[in-house]
Amino acid sequence: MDILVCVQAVTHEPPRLVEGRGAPRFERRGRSVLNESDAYALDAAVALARPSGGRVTAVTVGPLAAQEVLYLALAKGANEALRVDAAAEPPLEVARALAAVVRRGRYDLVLTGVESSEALASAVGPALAGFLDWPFASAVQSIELGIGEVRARVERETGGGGRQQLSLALPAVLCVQSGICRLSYPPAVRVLQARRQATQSLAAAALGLAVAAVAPRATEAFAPRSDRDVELLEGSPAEIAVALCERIARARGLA
Amino acid sequence: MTSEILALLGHRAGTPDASVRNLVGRAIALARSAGAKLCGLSLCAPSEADSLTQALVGCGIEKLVLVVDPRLSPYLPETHARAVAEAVRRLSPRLLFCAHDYEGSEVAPWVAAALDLPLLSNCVTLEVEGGELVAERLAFAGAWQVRLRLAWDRCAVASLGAANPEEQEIAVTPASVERLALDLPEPRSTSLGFSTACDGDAGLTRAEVVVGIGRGIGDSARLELVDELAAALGGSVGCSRPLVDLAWLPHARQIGVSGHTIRPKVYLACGISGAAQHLAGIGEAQTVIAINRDPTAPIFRVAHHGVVGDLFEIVPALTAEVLRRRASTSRP
Repeated sequence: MDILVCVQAVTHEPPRLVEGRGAPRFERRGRSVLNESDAYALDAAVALARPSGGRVTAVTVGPLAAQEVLYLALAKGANEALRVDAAAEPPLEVARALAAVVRRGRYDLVLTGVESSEALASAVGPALAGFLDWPFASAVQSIELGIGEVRARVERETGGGGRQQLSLALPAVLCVQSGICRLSYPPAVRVLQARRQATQSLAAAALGLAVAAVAPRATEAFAPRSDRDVELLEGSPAEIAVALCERIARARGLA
Repeated sequence: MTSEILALLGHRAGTPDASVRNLVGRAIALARSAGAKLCGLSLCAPSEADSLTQALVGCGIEKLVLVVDPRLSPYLPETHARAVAEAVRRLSPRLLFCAHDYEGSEVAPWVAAALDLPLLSNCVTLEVEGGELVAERLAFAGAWQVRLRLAWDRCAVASLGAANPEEQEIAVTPASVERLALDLPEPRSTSLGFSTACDGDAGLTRAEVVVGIGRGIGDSARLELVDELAAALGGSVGCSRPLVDLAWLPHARQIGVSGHTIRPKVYLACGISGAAQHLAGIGEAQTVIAINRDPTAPIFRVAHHGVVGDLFEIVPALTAEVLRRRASTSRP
């Protein structure tokens, strides 16, 4: 059971918008961490591959700074790691690059996180399945491999607390939801050891990627619009508590 | 390419999804701006076709295209995505427009990839301007909103995030109905059944007051702070997804897209940042009060009242004030 896990580097701290004309540019701040649902996908992959002695390969699409998450992936139990040196957006182009990586190898299963906490598009996994024409499922909460590992039984969320159970022929793309397992937190020494492991780097040109004929272009960025003007309460905790009680009573029709 | 906008209308067993109203409202505005015809596309089994047709013909679309096939129920990501892609090939619309719900977020990117079409995903707004599609979407966990432009001289795919629709005049004339026969390949996936993640909702959907707690609580041992406040107010405790993933609270208490939608008179969000998936579950709360130490937290964009402060100071103070008022027979 050879599994490819697609991971993305994100930062907890929002980036700074760089002043200037033309397309908006952002300056990232803080250290790179694993996108949360990708971290769950990685742990799920390691648990699935381990019993059969299979291998887990972590792949990320991004600039050199994204390399950091590959070391985290190796520390969490991935056997190999590789980076495609290309822009980490838009999601469709990331999926196109990942599809090229999949075609170069022989994978029984591809896992992605359900969405990037930055892009909020939930697009990479399904788009990857579209490029590959593989069966797929999103918001996956559990994965079991069938006998002979030719099919996978998964449970996916359907919204409002509902779940659907599916059986998919392998190879397949599964987009993993957070909470599929307990997250592992490798000790610092393992992360240090992982930094000494070799990782691969692939240029986009080496993958023979076709550039999309037409793609959306970002023209402006700004602070998100608010639904309403929030009334911010100030003062000591006791003063704020009095003000909140008055507003709660009014809202409940008791004032 | 035709001048049609094709809206993908989801349903469960012949009953249109809650997202349909919002999607059609936005699609009507878009179609009017573009001088385009608004068509709806829905996929169903033969047993669902009549009830679905009856439910959709008056929703505001001009034409309803139904793909009827026994393999289209129950929903399978692979089968639906493939059917929608084939329908787009055959109908050649200017735009495939989906809701960014569980199904739309699977189908839209798959179709865009399979047909090599540009994709605008999880848009907050989508408009036409000067021959271009202009979309706005959140980026970097909602910290920024980005405007995107796309030359609209070929078919594109777009998905719309949950939002309050603009009120549109809905056409009284029922839509024409057309059946589209597709030759669907045998799927490599099978549906094995459906279930629910939990029993009940811990009273969340009926509560007049809900106290929500998020990652800001930091430690499951401190949850009693929130329990005390909820008890003092006669309300229920809910939470954002991370606390369920950490097994600090059961799924029955989860508020959001994959949990419950609540409609209380008062929702107190304590230490909740306001991720879009959570906000989708509180859209109908009458009054939202946010307590968070981060002034840039998205929750403040939807709150009526807010406190930028430490919940470990504010929540106990609020509980004490509520109890003091109750003791003096003035309930808050």
